[in-house]
Amino acid sequence: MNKILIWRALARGVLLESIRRKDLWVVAILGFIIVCSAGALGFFGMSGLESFAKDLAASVLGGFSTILAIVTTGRLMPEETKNRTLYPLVARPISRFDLLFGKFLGGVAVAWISFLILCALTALALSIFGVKMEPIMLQYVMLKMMGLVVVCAVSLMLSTLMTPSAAVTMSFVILFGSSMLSRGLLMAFSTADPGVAPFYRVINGVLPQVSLFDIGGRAANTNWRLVPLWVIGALATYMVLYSAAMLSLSWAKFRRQAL
Amino acid sequence: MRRYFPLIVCAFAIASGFVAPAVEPEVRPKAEASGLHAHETHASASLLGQFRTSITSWLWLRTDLYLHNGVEMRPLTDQELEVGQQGVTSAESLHKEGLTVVPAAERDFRGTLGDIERATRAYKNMEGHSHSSPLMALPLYRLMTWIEPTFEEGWRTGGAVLAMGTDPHQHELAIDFLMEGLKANPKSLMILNQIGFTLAVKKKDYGKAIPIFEQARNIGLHTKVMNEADQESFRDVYRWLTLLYRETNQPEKQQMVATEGLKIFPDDVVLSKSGEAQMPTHKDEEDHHDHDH
Amino acid sequence: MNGLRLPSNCADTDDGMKCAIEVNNLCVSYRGKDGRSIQAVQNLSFSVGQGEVVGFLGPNGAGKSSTLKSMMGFVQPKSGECLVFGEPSWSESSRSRIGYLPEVAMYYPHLNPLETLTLYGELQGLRGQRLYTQAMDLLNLVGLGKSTRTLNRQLSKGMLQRVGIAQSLLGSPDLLVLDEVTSGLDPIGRQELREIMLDMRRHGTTIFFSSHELAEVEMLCDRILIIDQGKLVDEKHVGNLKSNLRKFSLCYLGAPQSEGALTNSTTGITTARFDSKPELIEAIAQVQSAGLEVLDVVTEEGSLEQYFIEAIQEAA
Repeated sequence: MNKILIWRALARGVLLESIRRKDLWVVAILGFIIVCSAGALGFFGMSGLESFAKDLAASVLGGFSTILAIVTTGRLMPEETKNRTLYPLVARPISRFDLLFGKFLGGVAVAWISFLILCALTALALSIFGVKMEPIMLQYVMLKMMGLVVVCAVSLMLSTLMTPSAAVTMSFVILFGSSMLSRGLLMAFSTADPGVAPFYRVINGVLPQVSLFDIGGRAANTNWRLVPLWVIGALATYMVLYSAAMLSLSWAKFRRQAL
Repeated sequence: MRRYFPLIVCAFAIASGFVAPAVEPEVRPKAEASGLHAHETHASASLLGQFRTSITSWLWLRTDLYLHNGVEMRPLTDQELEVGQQGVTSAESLHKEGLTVVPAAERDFRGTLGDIERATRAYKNMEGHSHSSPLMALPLYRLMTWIEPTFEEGWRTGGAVLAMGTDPHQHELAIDFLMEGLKANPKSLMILNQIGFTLAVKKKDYGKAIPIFEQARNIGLHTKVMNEADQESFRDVYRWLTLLYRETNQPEKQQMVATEGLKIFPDDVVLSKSGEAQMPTHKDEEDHHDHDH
Repeated sequence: MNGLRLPSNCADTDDGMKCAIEVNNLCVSYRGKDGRSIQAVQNLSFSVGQGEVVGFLGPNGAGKSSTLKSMMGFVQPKSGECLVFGEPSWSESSRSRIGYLPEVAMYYPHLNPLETLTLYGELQGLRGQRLYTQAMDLLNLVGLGKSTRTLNRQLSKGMLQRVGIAQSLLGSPDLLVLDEVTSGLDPIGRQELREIMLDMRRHGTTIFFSSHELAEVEMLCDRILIIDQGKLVDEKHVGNLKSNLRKFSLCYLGAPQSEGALTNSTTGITTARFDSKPELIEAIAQVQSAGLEVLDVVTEEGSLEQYFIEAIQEAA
């Protein structure tokens, strides 16, 4: 049977449920908050606040979309088990990997759509106040979408190991904490023995490097060059490899799990 | 009768609303003044205050970031300072180079991941770095002082940024801005000092500047506890006053203020030489700005 | 009966019927809340021939659902095997021939029955117009023709069970595995389901189902398997069972002519009970030869429920 059609069916199911459950209403409310915030900034006059407005938009977009991705994906598998909707699914002639991957794609689709809606609302709000959109903004959107794939993969992996609330909490801790831990390692390394570099590299490699996908700092400030193609290629490779590793861990746990 | 029951209830409710103020002193006796501020007695006020302070601090940090065009700088860690003192690594040289949060390739153990971060984050070599025009941050100073009117540093720096250059209109705007800050912080040595500086150096209006510094001197003398920033401002007040009295040919007052200042700041070289001091040149003025930042 | 391989109805047996399900020495265990292993199924062996309708009976906690879950590949057996149409039950190819109705099935609350069936149909490999037609036909069949666009969360429990039945019939499966099939259905729903199952049976579909509704089982099944505490305790063809459960009573006037006969001292009427017809005929002959008057012959149909209770008590 065509695997792509199976994954598409599962992902569409997740998306349809999410839309009907009015998850995207949350996005609309967040978008409204963004527009209102932009209006508040307009009160002070946008002249000179462009960097701040863009920086704020990038931070809010990054934060909200990551939260939405974590909450959506972290609930997918545990809720299937809890609500007993899993049985009719696993009774079908599909492998458990297909099920996981299809759900993962659904989570990514929900995260991407939410992010793009927020982006559109933010762009609208900023353009009303005359903030110029630059090509690097498109790179920001593209890289952020790639980063959301990693976020979804981490969240899905954790959700197969623990309860939904624990998975969501741990996802927040890991995804937001990993960049702080990376910073800590870098600072510690500045005074550490160079021999410990491999050890530091292993710890850093295990952590999800989601912050690498965030070019908000460049997009918000002026005169930064576009991110080179080789970097985008490297990040795409990282996204694929890290997500595959996370999905493999999920599958290792889920494939023999008693339902 | 039953039909009118809701109406009767409503009437009673409205009537009780009118009677309530009369009985309030009986049921809720007026608390004696504790001498505490609202944020010290009301949780909601305290919470709102915390929120305002946090937002303002965040804006302050962001402003610094924009002045570096998004490049995040960091101070030396205690460990780095310690290593520097021991002379194993030149920690001081690290500082001079402009230490960034994203490290330079030679100080990064991450290899390709580090290269990627330097290509995606706002990163550049900050050795001998310059700053973006502080004018771009002006709305942010306005924003942070609007959110937190007691944030003296925001008023002071905003005023300094407004007064940059030689445009007299800008100087007027700076004075207005600082006066607004003074209204919110009537005992602020920092703001008074900045107003006096703008009047004296930018507008050359010594006659208006002296009363401002005198006001600051008077406040300082009656302040029992001062933080480091206020002490710095208080010291500047004495320095400026001695210089201004000298420029306006009032040697007794100059001597008196210098003597008084030296009692409070005995090691101050400027005050000890105040009799010989000149009004600052244009270069001194720029130095002062750098110091502010 | 533990571990006993019952006479198979299939796979190279005398009647040549092929196996739909073959369970060999199946052991399923779970880890309990205290961390100890709980044996849900112990050395269970049975088989179901193609086209058979087999009822899987047992009290609560007997291991029925565990067996069904193991058959569906939801639970990894500790030992033993489950073959469906000759292939391991967890394989995709075996599951492509199974329609499964879980015991407590929930369906995505924010999808409607048509979307639910479309989703499952696509996972079953159905596409396009064929899928749509089949989904609509099935929804009409289970009586949900007018509720195809109503969200699942707005449907009653019985209606959801009908959605479940419809989804289990998607792709015309060769084997239907139904766990507590009639739970939540009203009498009309049960009647309709019975008709659907009889129709499926006529078309040669193998049906294996667990139920507590013994009357249902009696009406539908060719064979029953009784399980208790994870072990198979009995297996009977329903046809044979009915004749086995039938009892006969002979009433005549006079002294007892056989062992176990009881005489009413007031009326002088003797009643004797027999398990089979030949025994009854022999007793009548005996009574008549003794010159006694036969007053009545009564046939009592035994109930499956009584048999089930006795079988479980005997096993205990």
